[in-house]
Amino acid sequence: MKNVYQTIHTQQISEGIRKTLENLSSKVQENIRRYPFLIRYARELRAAKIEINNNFQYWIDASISTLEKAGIPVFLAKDAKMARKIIGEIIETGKIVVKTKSMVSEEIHLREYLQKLGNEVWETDLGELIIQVAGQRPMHMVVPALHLSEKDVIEILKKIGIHGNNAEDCTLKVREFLREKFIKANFGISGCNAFSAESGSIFLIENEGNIRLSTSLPETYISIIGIDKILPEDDFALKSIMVQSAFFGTFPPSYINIIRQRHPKKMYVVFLDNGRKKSDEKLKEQLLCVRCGRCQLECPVFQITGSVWGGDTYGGPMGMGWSAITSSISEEVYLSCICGKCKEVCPMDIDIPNIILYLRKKYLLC
Amino acid sequence: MNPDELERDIEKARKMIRKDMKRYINMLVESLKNNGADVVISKSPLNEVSKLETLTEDSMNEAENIVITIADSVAADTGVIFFTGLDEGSVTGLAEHHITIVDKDAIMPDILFAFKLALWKSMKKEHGVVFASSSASKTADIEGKVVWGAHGPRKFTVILEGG
Repeated sequence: MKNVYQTIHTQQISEGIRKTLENLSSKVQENIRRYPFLIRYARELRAAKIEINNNFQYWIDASISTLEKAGIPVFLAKDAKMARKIIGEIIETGKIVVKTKSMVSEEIHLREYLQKLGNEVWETDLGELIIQVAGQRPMHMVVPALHLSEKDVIEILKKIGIHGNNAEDCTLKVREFLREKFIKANFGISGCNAFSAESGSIFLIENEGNIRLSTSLPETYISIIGIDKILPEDDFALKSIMVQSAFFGTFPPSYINIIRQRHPKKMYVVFLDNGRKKSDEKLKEQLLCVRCGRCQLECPVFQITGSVWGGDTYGGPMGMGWSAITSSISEEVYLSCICGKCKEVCPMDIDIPNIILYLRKKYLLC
Repeated sequence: MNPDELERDIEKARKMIRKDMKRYINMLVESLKNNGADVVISKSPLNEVSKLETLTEDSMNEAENIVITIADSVAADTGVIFFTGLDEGSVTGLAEHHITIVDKDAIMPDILFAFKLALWKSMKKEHGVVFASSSASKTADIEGKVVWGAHGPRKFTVILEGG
């Protein structure tokens, strides 16, 4: 908890979150007003995800079977170590890897592992690249560098030879820098926003275009999919990405990528369990999350701590549940003010305060 | 979903569009503009492409490139435009300016139907890739300042068959 207390005095974090919230809050309202069907989609999605959660093994088997029939090599990793090993054996050493922003890859510390194996690994989302070069952890799931000022970014990017004068100049110079990496890359790696068991399709959303390049240019592409991302059919997967982007505040996303196969190039799929399947009834509720990041920005505690509070990977109120599922219960559950705003703004109607109260009891028993 | 089921759904959507073509076109134009795309409505889209190519070439340096595509489908309610193909994905991702032609047959009422039409078209090909664009590439990762052309096209122009 020491880090959290130190963070409270870092004004830049709260300032960055406030600005992001101001930018996005009205956009979420506008999305709901303009596209009222999104609320219905979220309800339908919740029901579909409950069904998946209650029958994980059936849906994992169905997904693996669909991919195998399509001739795609597919693996099921029971934990982070196994996932790293599988991906490490595919990539080996001495390769150039372009990666898209992915919470699942953060969860298994993939970039650091592949670098240790002797690979050149680049985050290609602008915010995530800044975080990589700065040697920090993402401060928000969707906007990882929201706590850094333009001045900070200018200084950070100098470490990789990018000398920009302002946000636009830095962005365009990063574009040039990463363009070369995209073209030379041997491997592209992404997470997955939603997966359709029916068709074996991986659904990915973005605004920058780095996912499109990472998934189409390299000879080999690897997708890491948390088993909570499995949905029965394409329609649900499409609805899931719509709800995710709309409730973050960017709808429609600039780009949608749907990958079923990529002949003549290669692809691999690695499903990650890492505690999801064995989650108890209370924690299964957290697995309904589409990771829009809304609960983080709206949370009064997160607004002063950023994702320093909320567990090792995900951060914020939803991070409590995710940490308990994928690693352990953090003592930080006691720092929540249980105001209930996270539940109110969650499109999936996840009772996050109830999950946190449950984790408090469980923490003491442990 | 098998191709026959898809075809049935697509036909259903086409009937909806035919009944109320003007309303759907207006809805589409509003959505595209709302997304920040440049919209040109023309009876002869190919002539518009030639005009745009000349204009763009004059204003860009030699290293920059334009890619012209034909949209597989488009959702009237959101302005999301679907394409198919792995190479098409990388080519449109690498371009500076993406110009796409949308003919009337490609218009679908919403994203779910537009995806179905693109999926149905992709089933005839081997690659299995469907992708969609709604605007030029953008980011707001530094202090929330919007910058166009983060990795993909800086400009996205839609030429809509109409008149």
